[in-house]
Amino acid sequence: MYSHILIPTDGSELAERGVAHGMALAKSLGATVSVIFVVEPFSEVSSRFLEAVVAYVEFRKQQATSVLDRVANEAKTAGISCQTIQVESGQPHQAIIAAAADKGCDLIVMSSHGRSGVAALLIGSVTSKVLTHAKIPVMVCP
Amino acid sequence: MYAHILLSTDGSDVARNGLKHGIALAKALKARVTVIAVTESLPIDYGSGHASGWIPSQQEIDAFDAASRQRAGKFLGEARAMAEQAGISAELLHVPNAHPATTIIATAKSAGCDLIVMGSHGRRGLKKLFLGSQTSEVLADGNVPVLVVH
Repeated sequence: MYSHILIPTDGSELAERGVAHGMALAKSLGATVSVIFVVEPFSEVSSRFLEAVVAYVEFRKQQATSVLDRVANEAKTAGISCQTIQVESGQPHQAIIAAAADKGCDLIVMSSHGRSGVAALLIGSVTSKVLTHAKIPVMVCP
Repeated sequence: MYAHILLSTDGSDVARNGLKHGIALAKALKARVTVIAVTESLPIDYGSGHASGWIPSQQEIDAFDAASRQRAGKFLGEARAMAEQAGISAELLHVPNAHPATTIIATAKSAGCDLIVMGSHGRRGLKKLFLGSQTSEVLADGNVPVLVVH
């Protein structure tokens, strides 16, 4: 059965639900987990805002580290073997799928929505793109 | 983890992959399995103004219903064989003349399923769609987790 589960998170409350579900499943199956946080750089804007852009990315990176550290500790307490991955990418779904391939994951577990929230879209943009392009199964959590 | 998993199939190859994964997962987690196959109704074209449309006769409806039952019976039978080979039992359910996504969602609810497993695309295999239409709808419902198998 699944032996290595990839769990993406963007640090949002909704994404956390996917993390919790993925961890519980890993525990039940005796599987290893890799948790990935993709930091998206702000899209290119004029040099006027460069400082703000750089500050934002730094902030996001710190947030990513803090989220991943917390998740890693929770996994350790629960007795789940867990690795964390932090990358920067303008195409989060690509980074997620690449990480799954790189780590030899056989399942991706993620929430249906992340930061955008439920109201905005029927299904989050990153989840939707991961579903389209992934070759391995994807479990989508409400 | 999951007490009752709902596997959905339309007889397609992708659906079969879904069944494979769903059965293996159910076995590993000792969950109950129900396999559902929903077949759609004969289309009725009521026509318009000058176009006469097409309304099937009772005979045509009966023949279609029998054919749907037979078709579903065949691929549900395959699902049962797959389950048996894995050493687990599976309940089979054919729902005719219904909209697949709606029925899958409703069945998961009424049967108390805590996971749905289905293929990413179905019979039509329209790969240009980012995701099959029925799978998209089931995902949008957002009541239980859905495992999408490619």
